[in-house]
Amino acid sequence: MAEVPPSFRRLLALLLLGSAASLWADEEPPLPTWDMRPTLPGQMPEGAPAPIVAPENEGALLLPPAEGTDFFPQLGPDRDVTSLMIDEGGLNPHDLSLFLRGGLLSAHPAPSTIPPPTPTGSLRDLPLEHLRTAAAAPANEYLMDPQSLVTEVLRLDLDRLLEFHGSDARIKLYILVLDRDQKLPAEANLDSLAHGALTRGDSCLAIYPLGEPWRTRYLMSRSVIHSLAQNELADLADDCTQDAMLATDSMLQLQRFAVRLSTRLFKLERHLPPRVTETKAAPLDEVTRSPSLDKPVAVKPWGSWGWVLLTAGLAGLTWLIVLTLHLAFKSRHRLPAAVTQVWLLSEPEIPSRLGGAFSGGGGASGSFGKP
Amino acid sequence: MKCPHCSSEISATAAACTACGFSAGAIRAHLGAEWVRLDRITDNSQRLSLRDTRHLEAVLDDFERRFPQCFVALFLGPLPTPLTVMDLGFWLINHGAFHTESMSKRNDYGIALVVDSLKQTVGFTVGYALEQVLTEPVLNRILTKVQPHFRKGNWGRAIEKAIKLIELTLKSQATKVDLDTDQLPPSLGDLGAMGLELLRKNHSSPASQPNKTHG
Repeated sequence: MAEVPPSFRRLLALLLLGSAASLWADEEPPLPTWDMRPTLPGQMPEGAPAPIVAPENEGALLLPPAEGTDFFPQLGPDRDVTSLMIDEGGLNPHDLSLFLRGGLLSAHPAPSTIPPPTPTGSLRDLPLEHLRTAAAAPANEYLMDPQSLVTEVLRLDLDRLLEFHGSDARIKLYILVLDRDQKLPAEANLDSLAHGALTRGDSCLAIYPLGEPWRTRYLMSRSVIHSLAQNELADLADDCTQDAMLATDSMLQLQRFAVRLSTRLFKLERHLPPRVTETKAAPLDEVTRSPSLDKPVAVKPWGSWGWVLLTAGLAGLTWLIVLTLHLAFKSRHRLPAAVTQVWLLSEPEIPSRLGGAFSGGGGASGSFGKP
Repeated sequence: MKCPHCSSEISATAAACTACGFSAGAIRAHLGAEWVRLDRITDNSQRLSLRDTRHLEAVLDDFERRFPQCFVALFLGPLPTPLTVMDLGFWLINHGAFHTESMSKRNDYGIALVVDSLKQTVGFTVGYALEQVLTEPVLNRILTKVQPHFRKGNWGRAIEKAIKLIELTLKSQATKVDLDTDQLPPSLGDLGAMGLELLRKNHSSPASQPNKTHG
């Protein structure tokens, strides 16, 4: 065998190496991927993060997700897997409620229990020091809550509402918040509230017991009362009270009340005469409400009562018809009453006729067939 | 007066109709001369329901209590071709033994109401004692008022209304007498006055039998 020259040997080696490299490239195994499937049931794959312990099930481990499910494990049946990524859309009230617990934006507020109304005899007077505090309040403090009964969030809302009302409306609106079992003392001097601001210009003061809107008292400047009809003012008071009673939560009631009263006062301005600059202070007078609203009657939509009355009317009419038919049937088939009287006929002497011993054929006959 | 068969005028004492020859003897030739049991209701047409039949029984019973002398016998059914409702009524009053549980009644105070279901005719036949109260015009007016009910097939309603109208007519001529229901029987041993009847006529009271010793 002839000896192979070295150059040819080098060339052959290069060719062999190149072919081997190309073969390795085709058969190269894929890059390792993270395999989430457990090797054994109940066993976490290697390198998997630590299992998440559901807060509801302390001490219990969540099983890894089954094949084909999302990576994010289920946190429980009651929680939504809601993404908080801003770029995925606007925030919804549910997200905000995670930060603002019990706020006005809560989509599902906690159900409030409605306590029974306070008996008239159990009402206690508002302590005078609270009245002095309210009197010392500045004139632009329209929400007077000396006992801090209103929540902070609602207070901010109402302050903004009443400030806007005060800046734009002719009749200023002041709200004095009492506790649900409180009433204004008889000797209270309301003219001094807010540094006497209620007596300067057209004003409306609502004495609002928190949680019992039906006991709200409305006081207005005499100039307003004298310019409007009594029924108009009474309607305003009834409307605001009824609207507040549509809510069951005391804070929501107050919010509805304030919004409603502000709106009605805006509408009332159209019926007021031109503003007259008064030189002396005008005291407040109370608006008389409808007596039916003194009781905490739940306000129901008229529609349900209408249907109830209609159904009752139809049922009564049906019963009447059935009773009439029944009585007619019974009278048709009633059993005769006991006979206590008899009728006796005379015994005439009639000669026999046609050979009949008892009858001579007297009588009458007719046809009832169709003509 | 009129002949019950042909409605021809006849005299009050005529022995037979001069126009058609109708008489008691003539009708006996077709129906016989025997006495027949006459019930309150004889429904041969099956037109009355059980409820109507029982109701009419009560109405007729009430009529007989109010008018103790009178009775009403109903016959409903198809009649043979030559026989009319008046013919049958005439024969029933003169040959029917009216069945009653109360005091005995005379047939001359009877009323036969016959309805021919085939010919759709209805007729009233009254005894001699009622001819002057229930005259032909009165009975024709009653027939006019009940014919609509017969046409509609409400036979029970028609018959009840007819009896009510007859009651009203009789009351206008009768004398009202208060019925004393608390009256005691005339004597202690008069079972008949108490409404009781011996089961066997040859039975005697225990007091009349001699003492018998057993042993």
